[in-house]
Amino acid sequence: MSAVTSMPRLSVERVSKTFPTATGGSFQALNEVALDIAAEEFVSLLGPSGCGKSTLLEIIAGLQTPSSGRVSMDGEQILRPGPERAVVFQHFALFPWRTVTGNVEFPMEMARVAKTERRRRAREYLSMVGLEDFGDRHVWQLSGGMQQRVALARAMACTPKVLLMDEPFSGADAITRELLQAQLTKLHRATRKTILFVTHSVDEAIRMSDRIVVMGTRPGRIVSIFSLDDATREHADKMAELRAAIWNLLRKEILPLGEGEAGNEIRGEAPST
Amino acid sequence: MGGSTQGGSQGPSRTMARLRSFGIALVPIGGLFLVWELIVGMGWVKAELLTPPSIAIPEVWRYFASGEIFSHLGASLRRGALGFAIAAVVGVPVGLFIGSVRWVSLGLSPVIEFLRQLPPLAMLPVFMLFLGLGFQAQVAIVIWAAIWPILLNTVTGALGVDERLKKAARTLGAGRREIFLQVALPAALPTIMTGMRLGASYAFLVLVAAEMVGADSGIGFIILNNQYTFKIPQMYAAILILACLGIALNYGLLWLERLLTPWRGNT
Repeated sequence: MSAVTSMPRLSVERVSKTFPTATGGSFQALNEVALDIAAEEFVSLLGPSGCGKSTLLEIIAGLQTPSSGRVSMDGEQILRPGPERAVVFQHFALFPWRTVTGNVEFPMEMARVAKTERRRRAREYLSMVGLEDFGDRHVWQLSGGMQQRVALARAMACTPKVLLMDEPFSGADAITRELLQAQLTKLHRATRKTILFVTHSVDEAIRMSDRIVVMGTRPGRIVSIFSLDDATREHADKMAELRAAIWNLLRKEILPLGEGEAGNEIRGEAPST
Repeated sequence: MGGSTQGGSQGPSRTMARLRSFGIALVPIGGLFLVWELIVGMGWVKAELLTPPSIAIPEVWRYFASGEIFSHLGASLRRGALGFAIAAVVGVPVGLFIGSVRWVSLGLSPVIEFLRQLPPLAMLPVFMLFLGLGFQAQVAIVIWAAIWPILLNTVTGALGVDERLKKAARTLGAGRREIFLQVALPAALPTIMTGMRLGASYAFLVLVAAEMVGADSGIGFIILNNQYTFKIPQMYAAILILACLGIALNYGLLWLERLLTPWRGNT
């Protein structure tokens, strides 16, 4: 607590979350999760369905409150949603009655930014995702991949310190997905925003992250954390090793649930080791 | 990058397509008039009972040329527009309120359903009792007919607002008031517009019937009055004018709906 520089951007301290179930029981989505994320870091939360990764993201977003434990940003407890922690949702959550520019301007309207300034900045954010020529379109006139880029531009318009992304590319086809990943990596390098990225694709996590947090189910918890950098990414042997290690962990998490049910949740080819 | 875009072309080709579909719609209507003309011309139905279009349409022209029809059209439109406007101005905000507060909507929905099931014309004697014969009772019955579909659809629309959009708005810095005005209201608008269109067509039906029972002006009144006074060609002319009014009303509302909710059916 002494040096400000060492304070993590995001801090998750022993967070548990329990939901009541319809049958009157309770379901533990998260159990004693602890995680610190540094500023400028790109962290992926990877795990099968039911590991609580989206719940954790929503708690950090301030959309849900933890049953116990606490989350904080720059040392300040998170109690409600706020534009300093922008969220990109899996289903885009764009406003269909607004144009592309109108969607990107929304958070700036909420922040009472003057109109000419909004226009100028909206254009800037749209060009960041390569959509500067599509500002006048309606959202429904764009493809899914383009819509997700609008959602990313809208999140950037919050001028957030942290980008929270909840399986943002899982609806995209393989080619679009690769393009979106490349664009996000570029954006991270250019802006150095803290990014927390929820995914159930091993390859996606490996491609973009500084750290991969592997989560397990019943109850949702952190199983292991892997660090990697661009030097590792260029090393085919080390990459294969990492992929195998992650897969072994995930396999243990998935198998007790039965092959068919959760096995399909993890995307990508499992190495045959 | 890219990815495909669709829709969007709002230029002359779209106008042409509209014109063409309008033209195509005219063909069966022309057929209908032809059959109508024929069954009288062939002597299957007496011309005294069924005026053929060759006589009824010039009567329409005469109604407009003499200016006689305008006071009646004006009377009908005044009643209809005022009643409908009141129904919308009351129905939409009240419906939004009911739909935004879950326990209120649970409590009031059965009441609305019950009142909606009463045929509006059954209420006409009640309104006449309170408001007498004339303008006020006519407007009241229009309000009654239009307000239930508007109210019900607005409640449905407000209840059906995508929670995920509200959630997104919260993360983007929107407060309660902003979520209501900037998210809930536009999200419910397509359903509200459906209610408005239903309400308008109910109001139209009821107005004509009410004018036959308790008015001395209006398009419904002259239809029945022409029949009483054996002006049968004029009666059919008035019916034709009424039909055109109904079509214009429906197209006008469809146009308004497209103008206000262009994203509809595309999400």
